[in-house]
Amino acid sequence: MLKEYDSVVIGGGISGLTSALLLAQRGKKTAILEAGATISPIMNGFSRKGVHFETGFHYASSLGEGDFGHYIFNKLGLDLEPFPLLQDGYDEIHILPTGRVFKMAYGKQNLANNLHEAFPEEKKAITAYLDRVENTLSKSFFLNMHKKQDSLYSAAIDSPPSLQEVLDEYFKSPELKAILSVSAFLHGTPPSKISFGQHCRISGSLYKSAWGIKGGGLAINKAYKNSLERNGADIFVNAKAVKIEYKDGKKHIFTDKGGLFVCNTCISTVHPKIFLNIAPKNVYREGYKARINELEETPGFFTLYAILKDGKYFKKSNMFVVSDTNINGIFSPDMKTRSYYINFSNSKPQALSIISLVPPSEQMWDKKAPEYNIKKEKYAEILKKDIASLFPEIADSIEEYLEVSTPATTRRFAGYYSGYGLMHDVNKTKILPITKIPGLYISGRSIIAPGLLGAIITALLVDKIISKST
Amino acid sequence: MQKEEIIKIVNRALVKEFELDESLLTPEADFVSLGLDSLDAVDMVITLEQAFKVDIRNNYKVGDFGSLGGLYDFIEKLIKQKNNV
Ligand SMILES: Cc1cc2nc3c(=O)[nH]c(=O)nc-3n(C[C@H](O)[C@H](O)[C@H](O)COP(=O)(O)OP(=O)(O)OC[C@H]3O[C@@H](n4cnc5c(N)ncnc54)[C@H](O)[C@@H]3O)c2cc1C
Repeated sequence: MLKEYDSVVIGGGISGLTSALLLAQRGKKTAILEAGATISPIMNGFSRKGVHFETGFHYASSLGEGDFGHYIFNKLGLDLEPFPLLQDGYDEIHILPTGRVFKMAYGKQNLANNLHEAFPEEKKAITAYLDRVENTLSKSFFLNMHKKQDSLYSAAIDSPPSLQEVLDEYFKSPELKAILSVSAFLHGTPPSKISFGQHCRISGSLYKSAWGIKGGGLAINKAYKNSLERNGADIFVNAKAVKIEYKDGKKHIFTDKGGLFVCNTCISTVHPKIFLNIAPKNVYREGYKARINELEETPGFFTLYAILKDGKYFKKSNMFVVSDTNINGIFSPDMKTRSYYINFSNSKPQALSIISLVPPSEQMWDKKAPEYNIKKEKYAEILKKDIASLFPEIADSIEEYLEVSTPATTRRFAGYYSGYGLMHDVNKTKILPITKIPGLYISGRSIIAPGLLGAIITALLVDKIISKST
Repeated sequence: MQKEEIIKIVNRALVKEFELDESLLTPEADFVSLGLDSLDAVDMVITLEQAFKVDIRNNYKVGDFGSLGGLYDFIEKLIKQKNNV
């Protein structure tokens, strides 16, 4: 069964949905092929005992009026209602070795005040650092897309220094450095490897404001579905692309169910290593393929879900708990150096998600991996024990722990492979959206940036490149 | 680092990582005629940064080098700058 389109997008996650919307808005006949049973499965979350748990979205920056995200939701026709998180503590950071609890406030002056109070001896450096973050953000191509740029490609490559280098240049206190880098959790690349610029865009942008979205991931999926329908894009679910061929200038995409889609423009948003398996052999030079294959995977997530007792409610957004001030250590492969993120839902009864990072070397991506079940039990026990001993108030409010998810279950239920895709390591090859095959592009969280906004930004950049070349 | 050594390292990278024919690698050769596109250009910058431990990305301005000879000179300049600091 052959279907012809102007453009076909492989993968119906946020990146793919955004790309498809942009193409359809320009009048291109567009199809989305998604392997899962719904679009962006990672955003669906799940419900237990009448309580909804989020899986792919908790919060984002830049959604205030006049901000980039707000502007882009409008442009994409996404009917979404952001709400501000707690201004005086959108993240509460617990540094276990010193017992310090620090509240991240947004609004530059608020954050500066909190930091000055906690680290008076580094006051000058704090002010200078926050200025540098602000300056970096104001120059960011991605957050200022309407401004003219010399080269689209130069926008796609981030450059040294690393976050760690900048922190070391400004600050003495390991605690302060930890507070300013624990949000590496939000992109999955350790401070020594992420560029300062990339970290600013993903995490530093929260210093301005932090937002949730009413209805969470489900609302995001619904908004995309509605806008895609209005713009006439066709969505195919349970359609896994297994092979892309390049013939007579056209891309032929084969699905696992025997479907064949023929198009001029094809954008793959699946994991780059999966893309290499389904793309034509001459998609890249061999050396470049090898460099892509060498890129490290970001850690996956091990999550413990809990539901709070009736009437119990914490007025908090997020907590980060770290057992080491060296944030690079939280990416290490065991639970000895512990770090986790706790999200408090804004629903009643309140839902808690306790999320820790699992590096690929832990082999939790496959249920058949050795000791998978033992590790699963062990990790859950460690986290529960921690909550009981460190946060008795929370532990006492928990009605019950419902279940856990591992990188393997996330992969199975949401087609979602690795936490944030490939690491954005400043010293390694960068995957650009273009390939050696005209009209074949690669997008997704591993390309420019992960996250809701990262995926949207990646799609925007890809779209600019496509519209320039056609 | 001597200029000859820079040339050797750059050429070795272009042959190995970009599958170019060594005989084409003359100082006059420009990147377009070598068949390198913008994808290769970015990849090459990062590959050469690793080989020479210099920061090309932040120092490069459009028009700094159009030919291979220009690239050798540019890297030589960066290495000198780095050693002077
Ligand atoms: C636990 C968790 C919490 C998160 N929290 C936040 C947050 O608070 N804020 C935030 O901004 N971001 C958050 N993120 C990140 C964010 O959800 C992702 O970065 C974003 O959704 C990535 O979108 P994507 O389209 O690039 O990737 P994906 O969603 O992975 O899209 C790729 C799609 O391709 C499909 N696919 C795979 N192979 C094929 C194939 N061969 N053919 C067809 N389809 C295929 C997959 O099923 C998938 O749907 C979180 C992620 C996780 C896992």
